[in-house]
Amino acid sequence: MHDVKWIKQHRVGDKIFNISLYIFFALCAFVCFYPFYYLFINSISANDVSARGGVFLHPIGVHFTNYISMFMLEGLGNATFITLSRTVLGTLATLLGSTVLGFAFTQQKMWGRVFWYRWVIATMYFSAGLIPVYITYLHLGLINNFWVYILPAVIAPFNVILVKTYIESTPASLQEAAEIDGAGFLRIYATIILPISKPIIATVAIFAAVGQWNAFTDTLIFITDERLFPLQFMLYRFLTQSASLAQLIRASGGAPGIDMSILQYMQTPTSVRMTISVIVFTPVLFVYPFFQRFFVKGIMIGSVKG
Amino acid sequence: MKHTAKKKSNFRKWEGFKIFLFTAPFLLLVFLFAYLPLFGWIHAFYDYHPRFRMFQAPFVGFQWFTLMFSTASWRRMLAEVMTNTFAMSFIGILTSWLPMAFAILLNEIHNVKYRRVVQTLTTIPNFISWVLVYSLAFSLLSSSGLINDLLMRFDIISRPIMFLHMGNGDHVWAAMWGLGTWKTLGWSAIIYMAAIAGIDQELYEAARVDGANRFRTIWHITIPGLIPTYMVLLLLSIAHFLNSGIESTYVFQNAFNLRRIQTLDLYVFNLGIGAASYSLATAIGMMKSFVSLVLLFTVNYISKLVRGESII
Amino acid sequence: MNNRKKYVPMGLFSLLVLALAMFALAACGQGEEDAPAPAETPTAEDTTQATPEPEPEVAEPDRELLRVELFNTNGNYTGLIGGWFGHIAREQFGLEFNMISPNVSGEAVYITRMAAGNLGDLLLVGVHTIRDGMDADIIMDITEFVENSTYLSQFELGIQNIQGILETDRIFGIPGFNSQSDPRDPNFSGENPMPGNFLRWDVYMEIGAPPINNLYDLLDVVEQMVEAYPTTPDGQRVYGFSFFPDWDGGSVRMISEILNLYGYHWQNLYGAQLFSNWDSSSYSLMTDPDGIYLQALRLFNEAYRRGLVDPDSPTQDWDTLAAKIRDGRVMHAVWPWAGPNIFGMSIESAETTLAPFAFVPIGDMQIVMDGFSPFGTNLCAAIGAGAAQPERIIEFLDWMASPEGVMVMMNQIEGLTWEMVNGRPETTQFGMDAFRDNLTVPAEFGGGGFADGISNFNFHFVVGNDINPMFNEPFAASRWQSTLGRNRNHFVLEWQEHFGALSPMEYIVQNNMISVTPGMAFAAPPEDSSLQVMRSQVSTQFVNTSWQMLFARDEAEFNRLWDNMMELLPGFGFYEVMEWDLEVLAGMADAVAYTLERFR
Repeated sequence: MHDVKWIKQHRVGDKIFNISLYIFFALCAFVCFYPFYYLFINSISANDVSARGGVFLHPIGVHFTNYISMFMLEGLGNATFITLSRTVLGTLATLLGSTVLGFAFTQQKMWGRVFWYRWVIATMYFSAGLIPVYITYLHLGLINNFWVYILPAVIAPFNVILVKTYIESTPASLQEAAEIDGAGFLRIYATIILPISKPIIATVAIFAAVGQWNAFTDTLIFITDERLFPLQFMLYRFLTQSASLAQLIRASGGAPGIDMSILQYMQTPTSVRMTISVIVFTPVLFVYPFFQRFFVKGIMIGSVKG
Repeated sequence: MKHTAKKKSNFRKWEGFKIFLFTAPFLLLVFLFAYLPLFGWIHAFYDYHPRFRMFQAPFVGFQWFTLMFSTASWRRMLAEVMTNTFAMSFIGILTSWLPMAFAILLNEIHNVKYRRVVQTLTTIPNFISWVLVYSLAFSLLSSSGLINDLLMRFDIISRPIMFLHMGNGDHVWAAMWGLGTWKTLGWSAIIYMAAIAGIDQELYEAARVDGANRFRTIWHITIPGLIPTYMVLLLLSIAHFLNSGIESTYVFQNAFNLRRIQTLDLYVFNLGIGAASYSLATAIGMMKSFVSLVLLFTVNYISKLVRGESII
Repeated sequence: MNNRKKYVPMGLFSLLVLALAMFALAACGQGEEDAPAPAETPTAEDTTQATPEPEPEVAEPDRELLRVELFNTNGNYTGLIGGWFGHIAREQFGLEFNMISPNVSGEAVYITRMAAGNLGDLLLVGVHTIRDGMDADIIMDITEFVENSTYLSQFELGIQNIQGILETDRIFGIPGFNSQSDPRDPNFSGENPMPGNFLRWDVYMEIGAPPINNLYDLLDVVEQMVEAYPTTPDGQRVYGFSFFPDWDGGSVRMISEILNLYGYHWQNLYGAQLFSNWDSSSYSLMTDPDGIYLQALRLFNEAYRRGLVDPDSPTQDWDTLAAKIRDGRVMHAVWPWAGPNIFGMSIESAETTLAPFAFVPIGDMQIVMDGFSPFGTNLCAAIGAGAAQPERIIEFLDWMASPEGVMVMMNQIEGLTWEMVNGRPETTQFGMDAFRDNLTVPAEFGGGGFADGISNFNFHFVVGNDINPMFNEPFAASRWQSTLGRNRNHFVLEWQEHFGALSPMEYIVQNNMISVTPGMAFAAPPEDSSLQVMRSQVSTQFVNTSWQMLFARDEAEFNRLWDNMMELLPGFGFYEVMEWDLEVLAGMADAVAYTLERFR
């Protein structure tokens, strides 16, 4: 990543502007980072101090039991594997779907281009409802099947739009040159579009990967087999055990089957909730910088002309 | 000559069809996952309960569609809910240029390390679930939270300020906008960062040679380079006018701010008692879909007229 | 160079496809085994199982492991049940339970499974769900199984009641919580009434334990308590009353709990627009301007204006409130388990607790509690129509209904959490700490953490207070002689001396402060969907206005809010809902009369 310092910065106005920019972004970064810091110090602070909201600047009563008990949850290993698999495969699936479609829709000569494009985009604006989707998936054999995490991810209209818009902003000369050489759709796709579109591919990849990493509502509805539970679901389940007990009591007006005194012990301290949150998004925090290198300036158009 | 022209156009047609073939599997998936389940919309016309097979449920026609308009109380409720939805969506649209501005400004930071760190940090709020955002907000803003504690300690106020009541509803829209922006700004800016990276470097070179300063560069190169992306996103979000999602509003709602915070989505959710209101939810979903699609195509048409290009 | 370049991208592309395919095969192997057959064919729950076995009398050690999909409305767990309970299920019955709870996975899981035609193999659901399931042909007729069973068949009254509700003379569901005790006796499983009036015991004694004759006195006493103890040692402010909104249904929950102390039930008609008394012979509409609900609101509004109510009440969740109570920042509670209660507190804890809570009677109290139900409750066990080997599931249920089974479900493992000492059952030290500290269970019992290994069924066929014929003591450990005779901490001794009774339940029974709604054979008829929507709208309006009224700054605002609400309610269908509720109430009154008649 080369950095072209081509502004002569000795002008005062520029300097002031630069400094204010740095300060402004420092503030932004602080406002954005503090909550994460807050979550982190609370997750390692004594649970009762944390529950009363007493931990703001520094951890109090440091302990790591919250983390240890998380890591000792049964089935976590398998869940992590499932999450990793779905993140990798799901991201690849989304990338495939959005780049192929995104590129195809930029080609004027595609048969039925406008119609099919609208066909895809319109799906963002309606939803059939839970039951028909479930029944459809059932008939397609996707219930309690790992593929329910991957196949629906292939179609991502929003990402198609992103890719298409991006490709359209790149110079057409690149494609034209290849076409003259006799390259077909696939070849142009692989040799020209993909390399040029690194920034947008990285973007789509990040969105897709994060989406897959955080997803668990599909598990709630479509999966009852423990072996297919992703990490997020395990953590969510842990969280809701006490909350749902409380729900029960509300729903039945004092369920006689539950020894109410259990409620005292089953409170999920907020600090545990925070621990879960930290566990879940710390990996993302480390992965994002990896993708940043793709936001590279500099499609050297000159190289094509030459 | 004519013969060659025809051959060329046939060839072109065949090439075009080949491209379609490449996309066909994906289009099939779109059909299976999005269009096929639409048969379920039939439920909106019945008093459906999951125990019924397809057409066994009692037929009620348009009952669910007209329920929200049936009495004065319902209409008042609906008016309140739609006002909230409109207000929040409208504010969102008015401020939709913020991620773009953020990305442009961030791009002006020349120190690569600093920029990367800021980029990464500003995306953090996107990952904090709304439930936790509420926990954080509660511990900062409750009557015995940090802010009130400090204010009272320095004798600035004598009674705690009930921030979470959001001025009994008056400040809800601003508050929800603020929270939403804090949460999504960094993340949305990613799209624009990618787009900036895709702008032809030669343009910048040429501008520098011409002696343009950074503001002129931004105005004449960067912004025009981002406009297509921005327009597409803007027009799409206009079509999403009625869908505000419930995550943020659900956690922050309480008895005091409800009248301003309850959007259409949240309202339907609150009404819902699972199986019982399934038909009602389906009917409302249908209506929303139609409105969204109409909005989408209208806005597209306007764009064609005004800018000369359609977005879809 | 061009030639080489041609093949590289193609190569990459095919490599990608290959990688996808390989992963697919690997993952497919996992997924396919467990995909259930489409809705048309009956579901084979475990594709690895062999031909069904003939009905065995005794558990055979080498039976095939059968996975049972358990749909539990009362459950708070989704997933495979493992740990020590899973161990018992596997070893004794060759069963593996995969629980699905709407409480965890959301209502969606009920809707979708019902629509797909397979709710599960074993169902622990309400009777109305069973009726819906019968309409959809997904509930199995288990008449023969039950009639041939040892313990399940004894719940005649309950089974007949369910048959009546379902309008059939075949057996489709077996109700839970059947009691052999007198339905006019209060069904409680502790020494404290639920709900009750609980105050910070140490502070109450400090201010001289003034007698509380009515609710106005309560406000005064609480005010005195807060004056004596306005902040915690950390400097945090202390409140008299603190509420939370999470459990509101048709009314502010905390208010309706208080009304329960005065003879008015809200629980029996969840979400109803009225409060009924113990035998449903009289009622008070929530919207009655002279009614008890409005009076209670007014009272607590006054409490708020006197500075006694925590202003965070409408925005905090249970965790926050519980933390506040434990820290000693709240003086009053309506539930015995809300704060550390002196009854049930060990002597050590009594030395270190910040906030001991105890029941303090109010002079004109008349607590309404539910009696034992010889008819069971409306929560039933049923078997799904597509279940494989239903006889094995029945075998398990029969065991659950047997005295041995009940002991396991309620008190867990003999020899570990409880044991027989001189012919009497006693909780072991392990048993007392196991849940709270999630102690590790020894490997021979299944290993794992204790709290992680519980059954999560939240369902019993009998009631804790019923007598176990094995040793003539109640089933529930909290009612054993050995538990009750345990050394009492000094707070309890103080309390007993002050009030002249051994426990709060004894006190209120002695002083006639309790009315019991007898267990009845009754299920409110299912409402149609438009009514439910109306009710939802009415309830929301009501609850929100109640909160605002609770925090009204003055009389004028209080009244204005009420009037506004009354204007809106009819338009939401309030009168239709009210009419329905009155009909249900009449049905309840009949059921009460029937019980009283039958068990005279």
